[in-house]
Amino acid sequence: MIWSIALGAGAAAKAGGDGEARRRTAGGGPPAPPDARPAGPAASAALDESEFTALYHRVARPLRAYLRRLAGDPERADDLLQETFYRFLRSDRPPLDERQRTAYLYRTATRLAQDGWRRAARERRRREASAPEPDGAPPPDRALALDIDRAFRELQPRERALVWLAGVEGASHREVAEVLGVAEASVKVLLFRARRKLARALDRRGIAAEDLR
Amino acid sequence: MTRRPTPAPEARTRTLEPRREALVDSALARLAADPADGAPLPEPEPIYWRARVISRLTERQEAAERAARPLELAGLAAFVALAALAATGALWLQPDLLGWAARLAGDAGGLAEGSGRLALLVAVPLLLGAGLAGLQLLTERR
Repeated sequence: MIWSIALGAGAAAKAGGDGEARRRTAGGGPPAPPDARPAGPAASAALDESEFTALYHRVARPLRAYLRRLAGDPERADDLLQETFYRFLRSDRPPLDERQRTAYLYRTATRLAQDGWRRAARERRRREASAPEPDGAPPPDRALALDIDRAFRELQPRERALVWLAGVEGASHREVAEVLGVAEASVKVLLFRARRKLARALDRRGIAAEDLR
Repeated sequence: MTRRPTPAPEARTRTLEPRREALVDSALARLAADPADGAPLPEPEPIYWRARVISRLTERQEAAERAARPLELAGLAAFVALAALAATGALWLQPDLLGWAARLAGDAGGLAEGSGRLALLVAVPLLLGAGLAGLQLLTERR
């Protein structure tokens, strides 16, 4: 469950790094109830700076990794990350508990990334087309990483989000549905198709599971 | 009711063949271990303070708007009272005004006759409009 990962990310990072922390999974909790609270002061007034900083350090790193896979551009991912937290702080109905806060942040980040998907894809293609060819072949390990990255980018942005949330963040179908705004029942099918598409893209590049061990 | 076709086996299980499952999982693990994700994060303090400052400014603006609202209402009430007072005064000073207005309404053709009346007919709505616009400007500035 991604939201509990965020809770334990600090300890997990000490134990084995964020990558390990993100791969941990836990049982799915109940869905967040619809927020029927009246609009109150913005989250920036409800959270003091130290609380916010603690939340930021727990969630920001996995969230930025997620945004990087959606946006495909580290700089844009950083911008989106800051905008996501800014919007969280400016929200009239700041989520109360840690799980809801994390869900809120992922949902906001996804929406922000969605807004710029087409523009970002155009820019990336333009940049890639104008970038000079690197001198010589990259080292084999780097070439493999680039190939995996390219295969992953063949997925549609929503498919990337699905695969990342479920496969890396360990989110349950319910949580994925909540973040992406799709029906929970559809997640299984969409996820299956996205994983199949990724497998085919990796196959086309001649990448085998044995190469990745 | 339309009967749904029997789903294909893969649609029932929704898992890829083991080799492909392993491939996808390994690729994702490799992506998740990208050292670029370990790059320093943007500092949280500027984000916090930017939101905090904007929130405070918004709160102040909202408070000022709330404070201006009774004033706006008082201005409007004063304007209506003045208009009523002016109308009463005009009727008191010129009792024939009502008869004149009735004649004016009943005799559209007669409008062109008295240029003074026509000027009055134009001036009164203009003055009223100007008064309202002035009031609006005043409340907006506050």
